[in-house]
Amino acid sequence: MSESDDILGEQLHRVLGDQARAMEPADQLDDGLARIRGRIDSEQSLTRRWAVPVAAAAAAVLVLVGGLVAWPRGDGTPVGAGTQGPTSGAPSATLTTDGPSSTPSPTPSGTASTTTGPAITVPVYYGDTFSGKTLLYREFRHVSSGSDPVATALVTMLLLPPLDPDYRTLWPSGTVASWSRSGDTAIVTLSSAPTKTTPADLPLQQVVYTVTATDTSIHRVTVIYHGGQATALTRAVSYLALAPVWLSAPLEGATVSSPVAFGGIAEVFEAHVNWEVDAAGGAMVAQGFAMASQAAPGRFPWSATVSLPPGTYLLKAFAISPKDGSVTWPDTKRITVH
Amino acid sequence: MDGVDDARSWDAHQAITVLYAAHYRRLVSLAGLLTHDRSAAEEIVQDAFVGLHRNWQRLRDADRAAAYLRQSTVNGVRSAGRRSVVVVRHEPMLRQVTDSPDPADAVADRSAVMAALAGLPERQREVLVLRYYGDLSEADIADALGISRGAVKTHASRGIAALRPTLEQVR
Repeated sequence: MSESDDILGEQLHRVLGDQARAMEPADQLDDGLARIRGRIDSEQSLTRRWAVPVAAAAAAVLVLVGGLVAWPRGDGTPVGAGTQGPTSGAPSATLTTDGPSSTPSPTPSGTASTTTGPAITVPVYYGDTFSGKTLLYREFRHVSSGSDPVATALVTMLLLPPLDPDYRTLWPSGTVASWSRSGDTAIVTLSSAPTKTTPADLPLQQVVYTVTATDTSIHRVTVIYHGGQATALTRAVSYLALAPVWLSAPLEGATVSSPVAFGGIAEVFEAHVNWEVDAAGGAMVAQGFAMASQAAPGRFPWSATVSLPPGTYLLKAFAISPKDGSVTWPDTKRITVH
Repeated sequence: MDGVDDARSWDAHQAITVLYAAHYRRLVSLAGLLTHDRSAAEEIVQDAFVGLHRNWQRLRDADRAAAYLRQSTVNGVRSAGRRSVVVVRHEPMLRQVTDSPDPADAVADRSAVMAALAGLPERQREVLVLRYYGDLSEADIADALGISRGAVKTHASRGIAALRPTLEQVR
């Protein structure tokens, strides 16, 4: 190239540098890395998970190993639940489920079966659909755990069927997750795209509610999933995300004695929670209403008792539509009275 | 930490993390100069990194990885198509002019040069951007574009010659 070409080249060099700077976005670029990781995650098989690598913060990983759930430490070694440190041989952390409680109580209860480590109780949100719309319910799950409650709650949300068979997780079966934290923001990476719901963001809110309820120092959640991400989500306002009436106790399948105490949390018009009890054959044997401690807006506890002869029943709590008096958002629990 | 500088010891995830820090920003700018579309540029480069992750076992070398990323980026720009180039000649260029805090003259000069660059044949544009923004050697450019070094020389001097009238106006 000639000398004059070199001068022109220098000018071109300067112009291109200026242009590149002018095109740079104001926000920081680490978003790109999160997106790349999310896409790699979604391409990967279940067993080769992302967070095993570099000490990228204290990332917790959930690995599915032959139906067992293990929480590898930072070095990628699956360890038993608890604080014993790495164990030799096969991953030993197992998720054990809570059985139905035999004590009706509005507080979380349940019994752990065999455990390999200390059991903890985590709040997990699930969806249910009424009249084409999906909203969230909460179950307290008593599970043996690794050292990380958020990872425990996430794996429970994704892999353990809810106690109430009417509920479901809003992520496809086989979805795995990893998470890390930055300040008061949790970054949760999921291997699938969310299932379709109305409202569409409810699967994301399922993650947000579960994570922020498990660790109350987390206020925002960035959810990276197959095909997209949502940055720094906060909890959606309760009436857009949570079902208006929760019947939280007794748990599904519980055996209880009469009189039966039951209750939950509600956000209902004029604080009225309606309930009924159906016999095994479907005939209604009792009905009534309970007052939540306050009316909507806001969620408040409610409870009631009913005397029942021994037998199997379906407890049902619901709100009455202020518009047309119809039954809306029933939450049901099947119980046995001995 | 032991071996952190030795690419052969990295697993694919580590490679992505380290190479992202080293190359991402620069590659996005490079793709941005070729497409004039910042978000398309980011996607193209993210694609390149996802591909790098898949191929890491084969590459296992920081320099070869950088070459791979450049190559994938250029290929990505090409398959993103001419459509973006055409769009850019009109619309985003105006946005640059109004948004930029630069003195008006310099911005006008820059826009004129970028417009002239956008008017060049694809190869010439690629060679000039890789050379004068990417600071790549002829050999590296040849490698990234899959052409001979002689062809790189030819495209570079034809490209510069075509831009000469515009560049000579630049203060």
